Amino acid sequence: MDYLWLVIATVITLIAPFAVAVLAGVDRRITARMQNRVGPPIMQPIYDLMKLLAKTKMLVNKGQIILATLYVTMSILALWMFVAGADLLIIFFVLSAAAAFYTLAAYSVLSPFSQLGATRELIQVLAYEPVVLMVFFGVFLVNGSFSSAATDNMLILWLPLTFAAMILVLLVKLQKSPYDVAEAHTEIVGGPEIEYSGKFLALVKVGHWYEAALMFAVISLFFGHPNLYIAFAGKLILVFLALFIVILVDNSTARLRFGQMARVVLTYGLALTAVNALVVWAVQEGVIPWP
Amino acid sequence: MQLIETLALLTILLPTLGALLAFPAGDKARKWVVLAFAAAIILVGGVMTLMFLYEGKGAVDLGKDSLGVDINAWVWGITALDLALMVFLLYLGARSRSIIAVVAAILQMVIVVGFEAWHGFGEAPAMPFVLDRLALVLVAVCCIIGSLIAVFSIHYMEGRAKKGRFFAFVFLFLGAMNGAVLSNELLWLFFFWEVTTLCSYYLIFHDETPEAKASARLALEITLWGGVALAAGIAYAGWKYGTLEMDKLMGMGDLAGLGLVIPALLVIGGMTKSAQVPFQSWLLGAMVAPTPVSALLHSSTMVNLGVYAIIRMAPLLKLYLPLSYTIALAGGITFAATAGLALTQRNVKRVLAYSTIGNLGLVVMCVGINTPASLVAAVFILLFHAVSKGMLFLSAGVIDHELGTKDIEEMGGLSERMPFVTMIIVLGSVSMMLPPFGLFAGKWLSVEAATQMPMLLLLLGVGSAATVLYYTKWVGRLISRTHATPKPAEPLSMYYKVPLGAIAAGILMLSILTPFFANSFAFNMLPAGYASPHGSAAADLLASNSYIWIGAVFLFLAAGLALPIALVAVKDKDKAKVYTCGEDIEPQVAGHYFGGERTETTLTDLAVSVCAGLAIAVMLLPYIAEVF
Repeated sequence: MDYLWLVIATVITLIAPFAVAVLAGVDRRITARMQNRVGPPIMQPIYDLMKLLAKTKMLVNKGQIILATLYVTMSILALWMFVAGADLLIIFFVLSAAAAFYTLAAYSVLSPFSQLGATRELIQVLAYEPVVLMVFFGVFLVNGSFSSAATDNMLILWLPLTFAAMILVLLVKLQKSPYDVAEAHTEIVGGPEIEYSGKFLALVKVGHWYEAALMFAVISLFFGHPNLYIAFAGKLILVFLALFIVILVDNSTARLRFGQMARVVLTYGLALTAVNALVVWAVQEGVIPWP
Repeated sequence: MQLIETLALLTILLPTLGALLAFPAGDKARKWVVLAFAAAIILVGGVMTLMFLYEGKGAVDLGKDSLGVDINAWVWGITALDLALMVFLLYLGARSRSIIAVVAAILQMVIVVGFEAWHGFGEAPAMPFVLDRLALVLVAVCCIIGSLIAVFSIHYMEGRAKKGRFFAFVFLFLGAMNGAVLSNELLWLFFFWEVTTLCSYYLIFHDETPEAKASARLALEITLWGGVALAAGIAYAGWKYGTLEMDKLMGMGDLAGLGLVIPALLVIGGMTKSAQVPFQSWLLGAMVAPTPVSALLHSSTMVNLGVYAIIRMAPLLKLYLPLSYTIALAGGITFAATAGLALTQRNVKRVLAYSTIGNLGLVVMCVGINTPASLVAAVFILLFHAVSKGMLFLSAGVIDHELGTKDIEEMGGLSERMPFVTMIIVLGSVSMMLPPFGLFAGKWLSVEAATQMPMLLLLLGVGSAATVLYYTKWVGRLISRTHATPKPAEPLSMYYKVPLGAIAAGILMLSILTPFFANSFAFNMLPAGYASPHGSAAADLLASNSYIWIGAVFLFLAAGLALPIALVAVKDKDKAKVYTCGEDIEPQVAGHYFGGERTETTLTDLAVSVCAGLAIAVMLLPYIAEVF
């Protein structure tokens, strides 16, 4: 373990949310274009955040803020671990800790919307977590280890179906239609987030950005190349491609009910990853001849 | 006799003596008997554990000359008690009018007496007891958690009838559990095993309501048949291989064909004790018993004994991998199915019961995968599950005792009414599912081991996500609160606070010591024929770099707790009401139970039929191995 690398990882972790904020800005612009609008400036998410930070403090109970902070620290930790090259499995568990704290924060206020949102959030966890585990397993099959450190392997060629499953997870994690059932602003007015305001809402938003950063980091794992520049460019293109697909799906579908959401994500996600893993295994074992 | 050998024997004899004294004592005297013996057992178990660790031993062998009295006295004593016990179990079966239990009791008797007649009554074993690392884990848990549960029961059982019988069986249970775990002689293991059957019967029976009687009867039926499997396995081992000692049996690397019936039978016996699907129904029925009984069954005694036997069988299962993998599959399905079943439950004791079955299923799965790392995972999960589950059940007991409810939906706002208990439950639940607490290390290892059988990975993924769901749902209900000034909490009895606080401290300590535990203890406890678990990434990380990762988790958790506590000051003017569309009420939304009983029935049927198929396959595989 190189300690210098831990420092670099920390720096990357610190600037990651800004990168995601820019991606979110791009998202809003593309979405606007798809809807024949002009859209806000690319930096709008940052402006929004600054404005939130300047608002008067208001909260329902302190317990919720503590749990929300735990959610944010766990999200940061997950990303930091990923950048530092930890085991994907420990990241998986930290991620589920983040999700648990986020839901607990929502449960801690006696608002019907928050409570409903929390339950839906949990059902989302039930839907995407097994898929994430299988995605990590796909990475393990090709790379031969659960390390999150980048390799030269071109995973996207080995794992196209797993990549598609990862898009499903991304849709859920970015709260995009058709899987925005927990937050569902037009239905349960923001669900788990309804009782945050001002700087606490900003805090939770930063947490989401970290989670999104981790998801994009996993996406970037699918492109690898011995040449550093090609690898970097390829990873970036892959991330934008994933983002574009997500935006496209978001704008062309309506929200599912949470039962449907769980069924679709779980069945398709697991089926895609399992079939892909089976094929990779068959190729590796020589069952399917490969040039 | 060395001190550690004496202490090991005391872990069996002391609880038995406690049982004999607690039974006839009057109410006041009994309290002191229970306290004194609980303290003594904890002391003996604790000192023994520390001595074992300090001396860095692999195992302490208690040969036939180190049992204090003449070995023949032991042999004849245990043989006589065993016969008496089997007759008594037959009587219990007849009394509860269960033809199934009667047949099982008769079969046991035929097998054991028949075998002893063939083998020669009263033959002294060379090595009656062995205290090795695996046994140490179980004995330590049993002594410490079990005694704390006994202390807890003093207050819980106040005002209930037949306390003498209750505490007698609690202590006897602890002694029998230690005896079974320490026994190297298989017939002795069988004797102690059947004593635990007797104890569990009476503890479930305790309230003597029709429901309690029916549940006790069910438990008797299932565990007696498990005993039949165990007896048959032992008799077959003695008949075919001429050995009745565990260490010799383990050393048989050439067990093949029909010989595999021995591990198969012992695993089936273990599955009944550990209430693995398809034998899970008795443990759910056992929920009618007073809550400390559940804590005892689920954390320190009964169910651990089953998986203990299964872990012991690992080297034999390894000789024929199809058998081992079938068992792994049964364990994985048990884990996923019970996690799903727990989602449908409103009764917190049933949620916890399903969680127990599932976690032990995980242990069985790890044994079935049968790699060095997976065996270490099995022990990790066994240990940390026992500690956390004991604490959770006791907390559920406090809630039940103080508020009179087991329904999760009625526990809203418990954090205001009972902050201490809520904290304990939060810690317990978090330690059951999330890093950095011990169970997570076991899960981590087990997920990595499951990459050998990707199908298990699917089951694991679904199961652990569902685990997060049902624990979070419960804790979420407990902590939902408003600004309303907390009602003055009723002072909890010290009999509640001390055991709960002690176990909580134990969990924190064990979690911090995880890397140490892995490195200097768990990784060296594998039976002969297993390489060190190093080479598995998770094991390597646990052993070396884990202070970075696990330390980071602790650090970030601490930061997440400390920062808002320190920085966010809440004044009255900052407080807001929740948004309720302008209504001046705080409506509460009930949790989601995935169709409740209907789903439970469907899922149970499905899991039972699949696992019953697998159990039959486990029994048939030795024949297949013999023929092909």
